Amino acid sequence: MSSAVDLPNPNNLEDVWAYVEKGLDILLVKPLDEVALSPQMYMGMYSIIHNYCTNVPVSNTPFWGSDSSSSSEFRGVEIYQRLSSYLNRRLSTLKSEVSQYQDEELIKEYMVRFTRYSIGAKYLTNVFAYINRHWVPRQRDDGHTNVYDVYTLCLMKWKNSMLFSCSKLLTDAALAMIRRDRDGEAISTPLLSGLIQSLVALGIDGSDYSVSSHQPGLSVYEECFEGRFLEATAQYYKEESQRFIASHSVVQYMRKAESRIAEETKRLDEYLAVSTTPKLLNIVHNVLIADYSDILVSEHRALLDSHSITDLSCIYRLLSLIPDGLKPLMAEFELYVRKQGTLGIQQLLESSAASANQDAKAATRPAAAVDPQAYVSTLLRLHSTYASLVQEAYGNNPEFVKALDNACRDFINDTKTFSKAVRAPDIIARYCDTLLRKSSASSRAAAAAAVAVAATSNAASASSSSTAVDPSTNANTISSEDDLEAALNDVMTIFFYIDDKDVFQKSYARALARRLVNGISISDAAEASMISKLKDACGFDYISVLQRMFQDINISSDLTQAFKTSAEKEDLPLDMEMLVLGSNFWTMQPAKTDFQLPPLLQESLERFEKFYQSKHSGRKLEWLYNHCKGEMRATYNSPTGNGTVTYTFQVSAFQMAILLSYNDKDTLTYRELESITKLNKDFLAGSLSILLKAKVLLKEPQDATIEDPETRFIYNTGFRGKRLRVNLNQPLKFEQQKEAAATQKNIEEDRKVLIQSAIVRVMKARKQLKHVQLVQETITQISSRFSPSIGEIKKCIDLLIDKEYIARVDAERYQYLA
Amino acid sequence: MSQLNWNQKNAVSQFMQFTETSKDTALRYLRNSRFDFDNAMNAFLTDKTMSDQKQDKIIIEETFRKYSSDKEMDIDGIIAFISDLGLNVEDPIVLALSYCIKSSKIGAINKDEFVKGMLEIHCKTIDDLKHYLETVIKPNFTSTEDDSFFKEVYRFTFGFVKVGVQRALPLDTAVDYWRLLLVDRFQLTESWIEFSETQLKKDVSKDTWNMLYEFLKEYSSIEDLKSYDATAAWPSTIDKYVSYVLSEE
Repeated sequence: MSSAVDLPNPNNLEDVWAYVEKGLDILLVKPLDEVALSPQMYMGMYSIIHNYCTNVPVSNTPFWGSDSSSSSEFRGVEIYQRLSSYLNRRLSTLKSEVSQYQDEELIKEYMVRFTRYSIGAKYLTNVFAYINRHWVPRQRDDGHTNVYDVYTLCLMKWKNSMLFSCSKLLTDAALAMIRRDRDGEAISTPLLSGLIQSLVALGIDGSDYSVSSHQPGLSVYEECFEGRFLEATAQYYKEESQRFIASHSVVQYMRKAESRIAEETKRLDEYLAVSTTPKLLNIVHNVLIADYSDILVSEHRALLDSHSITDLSCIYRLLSLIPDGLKPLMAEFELYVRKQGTLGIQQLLESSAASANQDAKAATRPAAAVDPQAYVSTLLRLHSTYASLVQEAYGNNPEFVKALDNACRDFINDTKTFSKAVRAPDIIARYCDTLLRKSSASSRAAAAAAVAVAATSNAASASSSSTAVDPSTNANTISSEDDLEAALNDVMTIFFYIDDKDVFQKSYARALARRLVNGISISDAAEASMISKLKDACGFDYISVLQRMFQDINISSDLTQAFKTSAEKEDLPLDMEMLVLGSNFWTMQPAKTDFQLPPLLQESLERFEKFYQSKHSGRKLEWLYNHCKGEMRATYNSPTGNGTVTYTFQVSAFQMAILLSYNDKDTLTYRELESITKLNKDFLAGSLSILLKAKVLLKEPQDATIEDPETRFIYNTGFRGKRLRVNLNQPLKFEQQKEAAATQKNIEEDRKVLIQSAIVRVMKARKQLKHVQLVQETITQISSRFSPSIGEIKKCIDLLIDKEYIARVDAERYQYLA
Repeated sequence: MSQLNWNQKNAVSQFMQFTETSKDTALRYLRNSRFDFDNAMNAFLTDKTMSDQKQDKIIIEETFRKYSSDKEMDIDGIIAFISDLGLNVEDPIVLALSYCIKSSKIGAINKDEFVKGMLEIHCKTIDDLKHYLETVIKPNFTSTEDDSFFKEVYRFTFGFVKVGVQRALPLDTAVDYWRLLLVDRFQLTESWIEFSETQLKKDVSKDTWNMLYEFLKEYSSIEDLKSYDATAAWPSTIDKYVSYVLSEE
């Protein structure tokens, strides 16, 4: 209370200010550790200002009363003005103090004073609280925008006199420090960060009178420092990178650039303002990466060749920092993979051609030159190599995954570079066949009669189809179910890239038909697994035919069982199995020849037909004799003269018809055989040539051609086989070729139908459509099966116009005709 | 008659005045329409046009009979008919004439079609037709500003010269008519004909026939073809032509 007594008269401004100024000297000037403003003094300053402002002389009341709306009813302007001029004086003292310093010293001294000053300014806020609360807002309300609260006033004064007078020198000093920092010298980062924070703190423009109510703007920081800093940065790195690249390798440069970028990021954390981040990084990226992107891209090419993943990944990281930086990389990568893929397949072809040359037989059949397994494993190797490259070097960036996919699709479907023999869908379907087929050795042992009939021996006794599987010859490389499943999954990896999925489907169906008819499928579970994978990939439509084939086989096996226990089967001298297959789903065609079934078999067949008609009247059975096979036993006298040797021949139905004729005679001419079997030249001569080669029959005269009507064929009673079981049922070459050609033609026909129905579907939905859109929508509809060319689509449009499904409206639009 | 009341009498005299007919005729029409004046007038006018047409038809049939006593005018009749019009059979304008008189098949003119066609263009005699030819057909057919009539005739020609139920036009026939109609008009016609004879060797579909006109009109030189877009809506035969020509270049 005593201090209150010491207070000067609030009506005397000079006394009041003298008191206040004494306090200000303590608050703003004295070294911080000596600031010992007593609570009394503190309170006193507040009180005297308060008292001065509120203590309006009573005599003046009427006078003020007439002007009550004016702000001058509050006294305060004198205090404010005196404070303002006090600050001016103070600052000019400070200015002259720091003017003798330079460089880092300058920053240090400037910061010491700024820190001291701003702490003092905060005290002032409290001391001048009354002015801040009452007088300042009133003045602002009256439009005096150059009046600020006391703290802001302090900062504005500092900014306008102190900072602006030495900002250039300060920035020079700061940039010099940063340069030393970049050069690797240790610098005082707190000093810099303090300076920068102070610049940010001074980012007030006075439009709002109180800094505490809003975030400081960055104008001062940007004006005084940031612009020049960014400029200096660009300059620094431009020079450095040019120097560096001249004396170092690109890879070294990449490392350097990356570490430089990391340093700058750290620098940002340590002392730069957050808002500088994008600008600084942008400049650094531009100078260090964008300016060298051409060099980096061409280095990328070299690194791909050397497969150096860490360096590739470094380039990837660098270029991902600049806009569109990855695009050329992706293009390079795609090109590279495509080239490597094409190269890989070419090498495979060359090596298989080389091995084919050693094996003269294979050389005559170029179509078989590509081993499906080698082909698929080559594709898988290529794919996994580059997939892991994408993962390791490009962080599985989706765009790169896409580039990989594009490249794979391109080289796998490339029919221009490779001959027709290397058609991926066919080869991959063949590979599936090798996976899902019992190995050739075991299939030979697994004898099952197909599509019609089983057989009798030469001695006309009944034969059973024994099915001893040789355990030593289990499937080639696939040893367990898990391995098989993995292999099938691998196939799907490649299947994904095939454009002509319809071609694959046809080939697959053909191979599946062979497996089912010949009973050489490895297991139902494996087949079902593969089909469900195809279904997942392409939908139910795609596999419906394959499923129907399975159904037919199951129904047929039930049918055979039922037949065996039926009355019709009684007394039949031979064992037989029938397959009844829907002609819509199976691609197998009857042989283009007449054929007279041997009487023995004819009876079985007729009985079965009777049995079948009793179950399903009205269905027509067409026998595919060219797919029938059977077993015959032939007993020969042992060469040693005592006892006999019985061989089992696995034969086609045609061969069976030929051989059964020798039950009655030992020698038959071509003409006779022709009239017995009714076979045409291709099939008869083909079947005979296999029997001759195996020496089951002998030709006479030896130099006669097979198809000479007078050539005699003699049953070889001295036949000797290496094994007791002899497979004579080899496919006739001309038939295989015909089948492949027919498939190709089928595919083209199917495609036309698919395209046309897609066009009609689209047009039906749209009624009227522009040409370009029609083509686009048609491609979208069909792309899951194959990639139609615009030319193909246009031909189908022509056809549909001709058939009057659609009509032209004008030069570019079509109309659907109901 | 005496039973007619005043209103009815009035109607009869008015009817006679309007139609310049006898009282009997007037009464017949009015009685048939139960003295509804408007209906009677309508009926009369319909009959009148019919009978006019009938008369016209008789004259047209007479014209027709000059060239054929049969239901159909055969080739000799047609030659006489055309030369009476002062035309040569080889003149492309004969196609325009056929189009105008709605002739459906080349080499024969059906009497009913002839009558119908002539009625539509209001011609009865050879002289009428000559006049029509000079004043309507020729100017439209040879107009250089507006080719719409010529194009209609070109499109008509496909069906007109096609024989039987075949959808497509035999190539040699097509070539003859391209020569007749298009060679003088479009620069690339000869080159197209050469292509279709040596490369395409296929009958010409209606779409190709129609679109060829648009194509030849749009692309007037081989230089133009360099900007041809094979993915656009042109028929694929025309795509083939363009790629053939450009590969020959």
